[in-house]
Amino acid sequence: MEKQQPILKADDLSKRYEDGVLAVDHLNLNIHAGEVYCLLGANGAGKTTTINLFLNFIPPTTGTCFVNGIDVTRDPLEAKKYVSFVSENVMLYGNFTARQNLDFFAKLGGKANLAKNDYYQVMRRVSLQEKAFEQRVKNFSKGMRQKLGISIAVIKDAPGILLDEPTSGLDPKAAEEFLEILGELKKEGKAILMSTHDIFRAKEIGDRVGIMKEGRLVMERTREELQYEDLVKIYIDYMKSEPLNM
Amino acid sequence: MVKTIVKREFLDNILSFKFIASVLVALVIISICTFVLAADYKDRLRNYDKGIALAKEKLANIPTYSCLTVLIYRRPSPLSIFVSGTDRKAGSYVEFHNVGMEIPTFLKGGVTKNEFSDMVSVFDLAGVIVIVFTLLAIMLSYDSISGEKEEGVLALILSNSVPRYRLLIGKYLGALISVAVPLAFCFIWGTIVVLFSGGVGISKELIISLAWLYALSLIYLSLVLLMGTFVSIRTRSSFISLLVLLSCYLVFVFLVPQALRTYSAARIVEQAKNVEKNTNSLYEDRISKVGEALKQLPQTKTWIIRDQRYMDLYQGRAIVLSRINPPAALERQSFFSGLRIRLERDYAVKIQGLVDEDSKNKRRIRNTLNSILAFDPPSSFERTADLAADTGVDSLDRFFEHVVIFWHQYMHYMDEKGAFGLQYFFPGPKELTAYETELVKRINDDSSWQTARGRTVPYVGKYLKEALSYRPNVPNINLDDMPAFNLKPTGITDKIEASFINVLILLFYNITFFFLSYVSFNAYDPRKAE
Amino acid sequence: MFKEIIKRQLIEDLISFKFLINTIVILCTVVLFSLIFINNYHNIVDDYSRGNISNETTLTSFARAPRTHLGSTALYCTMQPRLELFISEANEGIMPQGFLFSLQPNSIRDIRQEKEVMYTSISKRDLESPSVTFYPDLTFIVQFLLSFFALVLTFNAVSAEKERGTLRLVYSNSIKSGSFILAKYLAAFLAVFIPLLLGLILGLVLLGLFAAGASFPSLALSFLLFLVISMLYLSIFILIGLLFSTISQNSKTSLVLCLLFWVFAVIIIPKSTGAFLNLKAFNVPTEEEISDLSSKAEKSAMERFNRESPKGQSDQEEETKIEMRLKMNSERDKAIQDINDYYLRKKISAITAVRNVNIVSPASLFEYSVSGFTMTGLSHFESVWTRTRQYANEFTSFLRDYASTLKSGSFFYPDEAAVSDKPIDANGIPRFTDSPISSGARTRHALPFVSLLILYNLLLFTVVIYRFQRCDVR
Repeated sequence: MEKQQPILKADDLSKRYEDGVLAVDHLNLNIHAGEVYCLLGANGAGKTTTINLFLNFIPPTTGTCFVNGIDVTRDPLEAKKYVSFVSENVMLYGNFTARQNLDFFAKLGGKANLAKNDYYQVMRRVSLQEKAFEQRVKNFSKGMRQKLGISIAVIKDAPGILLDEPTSGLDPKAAEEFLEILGELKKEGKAILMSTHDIFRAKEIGDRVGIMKEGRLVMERTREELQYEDLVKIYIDYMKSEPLNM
Repeated sequence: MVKTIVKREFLDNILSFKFIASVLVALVIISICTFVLAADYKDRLRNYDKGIALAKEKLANIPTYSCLTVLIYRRPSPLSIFVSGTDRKAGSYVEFHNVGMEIPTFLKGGVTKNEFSDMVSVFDLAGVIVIVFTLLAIMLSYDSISGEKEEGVLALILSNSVPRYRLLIGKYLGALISVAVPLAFCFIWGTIVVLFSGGVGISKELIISLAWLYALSLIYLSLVLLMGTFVSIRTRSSFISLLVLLSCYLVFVFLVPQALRTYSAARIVEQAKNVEKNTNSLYEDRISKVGEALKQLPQTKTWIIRDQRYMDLYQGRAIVLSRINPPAALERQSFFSGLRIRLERDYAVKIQGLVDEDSKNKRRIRNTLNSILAFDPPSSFERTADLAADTGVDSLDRFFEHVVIFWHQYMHYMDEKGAFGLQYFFPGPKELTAYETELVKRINDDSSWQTARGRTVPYVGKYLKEALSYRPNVPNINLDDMPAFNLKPTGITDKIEASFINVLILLFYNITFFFLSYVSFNAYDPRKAE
Repeated sequence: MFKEIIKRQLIEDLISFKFLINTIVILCTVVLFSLIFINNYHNIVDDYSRGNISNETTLTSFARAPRTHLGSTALYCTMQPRLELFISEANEGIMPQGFLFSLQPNSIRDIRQEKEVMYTSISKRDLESPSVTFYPDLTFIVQFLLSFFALVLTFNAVSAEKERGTLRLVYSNSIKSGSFILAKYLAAFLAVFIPLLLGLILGLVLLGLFAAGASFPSLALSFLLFLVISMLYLSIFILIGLLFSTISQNSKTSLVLCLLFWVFAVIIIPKSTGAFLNLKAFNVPTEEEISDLSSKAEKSAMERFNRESPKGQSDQEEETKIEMRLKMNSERDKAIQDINDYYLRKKISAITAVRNVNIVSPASLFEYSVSGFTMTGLSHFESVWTRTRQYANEFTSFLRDYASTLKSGSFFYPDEAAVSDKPIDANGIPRFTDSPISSGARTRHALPFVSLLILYNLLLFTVVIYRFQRCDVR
């Protein structure tokens, strides 16, 4: 397999907040097209900060994030063209319908001139109920909102996708459907970085799995390696072990 | 159970940003405005004391009744520091003129000397309550139910064995205490500022009236809290409930009262114009009648000497004759004065009749306005505050009613004393001394006045100097038995009685909103929207 | 990109419950206020014409026998009611309505509130002594209601997006940070502009239809200027709302800050500066004290005349005596007039100084800008004052030219000795007219305040953009 340039790359990335907390500690990530990377870790381990750094919501203390080879701090507007974002708990614009929300974010993502049917198609693809297409989002359940969230990412059709705990709070069926869509996207060649708590699903969908503890990537395994190891045991062991920073 | 809820509500409110910010704002405003109003009150009180002392002094030194000008001072009320009302803007005294004999219908003097001063205003405690505390009450109650529902806490609370009505009472009491404590603090702080600026006596009546004012404020603010709770229950989100309450705030605190007041003020001005027309025609009548009276005077020619000292002292308004005057002049003067004064008194009573009728009409308009505004809680509260402080237009009404009564007493007293006879302008006893008689005879024989023009000739002949320099020791008029103007300040029972209906309506609102909240809350769905 | 954001924001702001409620409230208020105003205006015009009629009667009797009527001739020189009062009444109803010009003694005195409405000269507005009073005019609607609405619209503009998570979502696309906040501003601007425009059109129509003497073009111009200045004022509140929603932790804090700001800026600061009037620097003497000073001046003039006038009886000396007496009277009147003018000016500058403290609050700035270009209120009074002084000179010159008994070139003063009793043509006597508003005067009065409004806007704009770019998107 030709080693192309990684779509999502973190190069010796560190972030220390003003209050002294080291949220990300010399992180190195390389995610290529068609690859799903799952980032595991406890709350406050640095997963969300990593994603925020990729989106240039906060500047890094040291190191760089690259999206499609573009330095996100140097040229954020250009970089953002190549990445989509699915957040954990998105309320979206409650007074607008699903299609209107989708329409708005599609246009923001650079996809103008789409027809109503295009939107419907995408929403169908993510298994959102037909009758919800023209309903106001404020009446949606959490699962429906997550589906709408991913449809926003799908319609942008960017090479990289960042997901922040997308399956938290979803029932097993909805989570399963969600991961199916991710699998499809992966086959389409998208580079996916997903932070999650869900060890089981991480093992299923992730080509590579990384465990973050107190900002550092303490372990990284490929799918093949995980066939022979018990990820659950490894994860819990790491969680229980001594803190890295005393 | 209720106690726990009350305590939690109270602590929650006290520590919130909105509470601290609003209370700070209220305290700052109250400090400044109470300080200013207290200084203003001291000024007015000083004026009052000075005026009374001066008037008393003057009363001790008058030779004839024509020099008598009765001044009635209106005592400024210390409660005007808290509810400024009309006390500051109105004048401070009325004057009974012996020329014209009119019953006074307006107050003169006063400390505001700038005719443009109505363009600026000062806040008072009542204003702070209506504007800042209402806002605070709205902010504390708009999310009392819907906010907790949105946070998911309501379902959690109701998952315990708490009857719904107890929860409601607990929330209401918690909010009420959260409002009552800073309110009390503001009252006390205001009183401290007043004490601090010195010169204002803190009397028992003041404390009682302030306590009553505090109770009224609580009733009013409780109404706002209950209304906020009710709206919070009935709307889907706390944001909508806030919008509704804030719109009500704008409409009921500012829009409606102001529009209605401007309208009724215009009506009252129209009334005033009518009365002015009628009183003007009465005045003209009187002037012509006085002119006719002149014709009835005895036709004998005579000379007259006026005592110039008093002319200067009273700027020509008081005619005092010298003791050197012939009987003809005395008779003529006495006849004319008696006639004129009788006419003026009659017309004064007629004009007062017109004024009374006009007042009745104005009062009717004001009563209609007040009845409508009684249903607008902030205006209703302001009215009760005015009545509690006795600084509104009603207290002016009362004052003038007593002025009219006093005028009649005064006239009666003057009649008994025979003040409008010779004593009106002739100092001292009726009998002339030997020297005086002799000088009069000498002047009578002097031909210089007999050839001058006119029937009543001011004497300018050779004996004038001697007549003018004759300064006998004339006893001043004894006014010790003159009736005194007594206006007892309204007692607290009268104040409560006067604001009875307004308080009743406020309490009625309270009960209604509580009942509505109770009923709605029983049917309320506490589940958080997913 | 920007187009999308602003389109969405417009839909959210304009197709909302609060926008509808606000428009309805504004329109109803405009109707209510127009009705009240038209009713009141009727009375004001009545009063004014009564003054004119009284002047005519006075002048007719005067013309028949000038010398006899010298002492009883007093003419009203009052502010002419203008329809611009509907835009901004500027307290014109509670200040002296103008001046009384009397011939003997030659004086110009301001007319106190002669209509005693109750038992005292309490202003007509403060009858029921509420704590805060306003006049229901268009300025009130914008100053109070629309500014409130502007804050309600924007107080959670940024904080709600943060709380909903849509801020992050929008920013994960290539959006310039300035465009986001600009879109919020423009959408709010439009949402406030529309009800204002509708309300003004409605007001203009109602006034044109029902108010007497409406001159459409000039009234329309005034309304247009009012629209522009109102939007300057409301823009400040939009920016404040955006600012607070950016710097606050959450929407609730932002709301509290906005509400308190509104209460302070719109109600408390403008309505509590009366406190400063008590300062020693602004103290003016009472009426009695002023008349005391005046009588002193009179006495000294009298003494001087008695000292200096010739004692003889010859014709020459009689003439000199007359001329000296005229001069003395004229000087005496002038001295007394100067005293009165001095204190009147002092009173006006005290009030102006106290009101100038208010320019901290945008609401007062707005009020002063509007009353500056409508030339109502204090500026109207001052222009009538200037005009009255001119008129007094015109009248005296007229008397000198048509009714003087003196030799031409001698010193003239309207006194029994100098004015003949021969009837003169009443139509020839100059009449007092209130001067029309010149655009130069309008600009002069309004410009300083309008510039400050613009300055506030620019400052706030910079702060908002700066703060927003620094704010945390997460």
